[in-house]
Amino acid sequence: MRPARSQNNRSGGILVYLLVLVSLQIFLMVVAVEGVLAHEPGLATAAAILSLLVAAMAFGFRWFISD
Amino acid sequence: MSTPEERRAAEAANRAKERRREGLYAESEPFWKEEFPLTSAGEEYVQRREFTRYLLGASAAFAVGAVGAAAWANLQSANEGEPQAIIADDRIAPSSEYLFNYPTDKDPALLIRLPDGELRAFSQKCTHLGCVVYYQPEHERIFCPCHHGVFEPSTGDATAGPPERPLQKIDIEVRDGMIWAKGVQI
Repeated sequence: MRPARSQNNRSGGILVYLLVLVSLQIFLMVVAVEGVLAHEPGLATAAAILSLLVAAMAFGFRWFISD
Repeated sequence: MSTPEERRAAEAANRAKERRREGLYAESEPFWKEEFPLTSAGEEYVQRREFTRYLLGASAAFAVGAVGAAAWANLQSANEGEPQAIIADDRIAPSSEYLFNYPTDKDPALLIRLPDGELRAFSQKCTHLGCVVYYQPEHERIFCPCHHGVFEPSTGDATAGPPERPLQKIDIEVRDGMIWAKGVQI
């Protein structure tokens, strides 16, 4: 059966939300690499912690919406 | 009697009816989907769900990469370099510099004796874009000629120009008349 339009909209919204989180992950990864190249472990550590938080948010969201 | 074409059309219609009964196709589906069943029921929903899994996997992969980068950065900071003799203490006069390499042969470094006799050592790489900096005793500053970055020679702090971070400091010690580099402060 084709899903209802409201179902499509909802899953589309979920996709956009996760895409934003993954974009954020890419940014944080770049910041962490910048921290390595600039010999700033504090910067890389902060980026890694935020990255883990964002990943936890994504998985938590997936768990929250799963049936 | 029916012709073979009519029989084939009737069979196709029956197959379509069966599929509709099984819920594989909606009534509004185009006819070609019945003849070319390349899709399955709920295709969009399943694909989005799978794509969501890929996104979660990508998110986890990037998080692992960021943690790896942080671990690497912290390991680098732990590796401060081995003690290394630089030059005899009496061979560097006040308001002068001595160039050496530390912690490896590929890392240019700068040893400075300030006018008051204090010694300082820094990496010679500008924290802006990595150009080589040098000491200008007449202006009492460390200068980067690439983009006119200026650093304070007693602390290594950036005071003018595009650099925002201080020069990397090298711990030094005078022992038995010899100046030693003890490690890099990262």
